[in-house]
Amino acid sequence: MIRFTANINGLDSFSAAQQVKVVILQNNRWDNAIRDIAPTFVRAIRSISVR
Amino acid sequence: MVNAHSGKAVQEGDQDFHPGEPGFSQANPMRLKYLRKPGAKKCLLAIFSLILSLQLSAQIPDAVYKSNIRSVRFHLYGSQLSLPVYNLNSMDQLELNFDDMDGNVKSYYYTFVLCDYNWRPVDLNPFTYIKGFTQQRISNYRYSSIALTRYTHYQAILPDRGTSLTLSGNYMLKVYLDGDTSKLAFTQRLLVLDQRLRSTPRWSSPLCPTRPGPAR
Repeated sequence: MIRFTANINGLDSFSAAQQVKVVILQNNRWDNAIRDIAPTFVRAIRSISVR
Repeated sequence: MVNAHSGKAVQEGDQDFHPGEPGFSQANPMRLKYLRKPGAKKCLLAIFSLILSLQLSAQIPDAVYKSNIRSVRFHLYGSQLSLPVYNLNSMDQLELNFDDMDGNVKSYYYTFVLCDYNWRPVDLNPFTYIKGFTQQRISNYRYSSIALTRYTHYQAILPDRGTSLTLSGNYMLKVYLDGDTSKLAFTQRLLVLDQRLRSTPRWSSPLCPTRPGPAR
């Protein structure tokens, strides 16, 4: 399981849930990249947990 | 029935075909005959979808389109295992290596194409994200010396001094022949980074009540 948060306070205000995209690569490989991850929480601080 | 395989003829016949029109069958007996064949329309559809799929396949990053191109490597300069990530407005250098098994010298060019999250090219003029020359020739090559196979090794250090990228995002590096993008040799992914936020992922083993976790 990888759990991480991304602080978007430094960015311009926008719809974070749509505009922040996440790709997780294993060993720099693109063929098994994990994409289109929906955030678990969107707060003042955005938090995402997967796997 | 000679023209039955030609897509154009079928298409014309399709537009002209009005079943109720008097005298039509006398005027064009051949056309009507092959239009009645049930496979004609399906065949046309297949040709169109083939053309469409060929055009779409020309957009895939990390793909080699010519059989004489081998061992494409694209990474940070001097670091073979790294991901090609370029920090915007930095002095980062990337290294592109590939072999041409034909063993002669060709003029390969490269350019950058800005893509979206799904690696589809963005509908923007290249001048909005490339400052300087939009394409560069790969002029650094070397013949094989001690190998039994003849090949030419090409190397490029990019971005070139005459070219700089002005927007961050997913880029597709296109390498093609003779300055003609339709003669595409291969594509590679390039990430251009404009670090606005930091994220520190934490790894943990998933909780599974029925099975004990991995030994620590």
